[in-house]
Amino acid sequence: MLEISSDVIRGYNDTIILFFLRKEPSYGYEISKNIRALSKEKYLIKETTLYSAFTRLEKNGYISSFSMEAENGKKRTYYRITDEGRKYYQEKCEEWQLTKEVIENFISV
Amino acid sequence: MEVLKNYLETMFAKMPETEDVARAKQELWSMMEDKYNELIAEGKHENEAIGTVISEFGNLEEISESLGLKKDEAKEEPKEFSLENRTNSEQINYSGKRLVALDEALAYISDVTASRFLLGLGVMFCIFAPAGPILGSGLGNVFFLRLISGLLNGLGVTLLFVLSGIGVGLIVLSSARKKEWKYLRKKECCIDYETRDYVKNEKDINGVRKSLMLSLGIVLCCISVAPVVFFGTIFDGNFFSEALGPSMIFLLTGIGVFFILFSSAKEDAYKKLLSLG
Repeated sequence: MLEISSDVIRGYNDTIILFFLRKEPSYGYEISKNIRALSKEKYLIKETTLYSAFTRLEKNGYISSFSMEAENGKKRTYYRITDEGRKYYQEKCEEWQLTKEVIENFISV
Repeated sequence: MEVLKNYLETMFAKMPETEDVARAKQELWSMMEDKYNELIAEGKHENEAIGTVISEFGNLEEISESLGLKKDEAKEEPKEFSLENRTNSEQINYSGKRLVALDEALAYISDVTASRFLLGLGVMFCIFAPAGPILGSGLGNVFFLRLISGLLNGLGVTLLFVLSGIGVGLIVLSSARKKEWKYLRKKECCIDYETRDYVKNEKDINGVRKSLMLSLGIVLCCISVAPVVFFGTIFDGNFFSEALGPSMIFLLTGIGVFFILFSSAKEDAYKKLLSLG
């Protein structure tokens, strides 16, 4: 099966994560599970990739983290999107529209 | 689960000990744990779940980059480590080697021990057996038992057969006990770090017990002739020198051989397991 190249998707991991956080705060494994489900199992994000994205997003002020106890009593770090994060997400979406438009011109199957 | 913890520890072994790194490790562990638990809940086998979690873990270089660690500080050695660990995860997944986990190793050790125990007991009973007729005829010569000497002789011979019968039965049982572990010898197997450490540790602890049992066994064999010499010098031609002394040779040798056989039981199991790694 054709696998998605991590080089290509790297620039959009942030967008993917913010997409989920726009709706509600979430934690690492839940996000990775959702990415897998929504991409119809075509994109499995590696744990290290996901965590690097979290630290990068937090450093840039696009998300903030807080710790919360889950139903089973496990303490988890949850992430919440900030206003800057929402703005950044919009920008990235527009950027993607443009990228898609441009690249499309060079694709011939 | 312990295997995963070890994997993560190894991955982080060469990272500097900062707060950021500790937090990254904690977060990654939390994700691995969640994934592992869900795979197990889906009904996956432990080894399969471990393989999946490790293969989807990723690359620590990404973490060092995002934490802004200097290249020479974190990049060089972890790279080597991640390569090493990738082969490790492949071993679990694809190379067809069967991974023997700790619980399985423990079951193996206890079965080998039990099997060797039964073997020792079997051999011991076989060695005991000749003492039956000796005691039987000896007792028959003691004055007030002379009336039933025929019966005692018969009982002694019967004891010979009964004891050797039990002995042989136990030996057969002992080999049956080992049979289900045949694949350890035939198939390619390997053990993980944790199991190896555990077994190594146990082997060291067991060393003293082993030599104690071995020397006890040897001492018993050596002194087995002592009673016959002792009774022979004190008494002349009575029950003690004619029957009890000689049968003590068999009894003491039997117990001695049991200890000698049993002493190396655990050791052999540990050696076999360590040779897999």
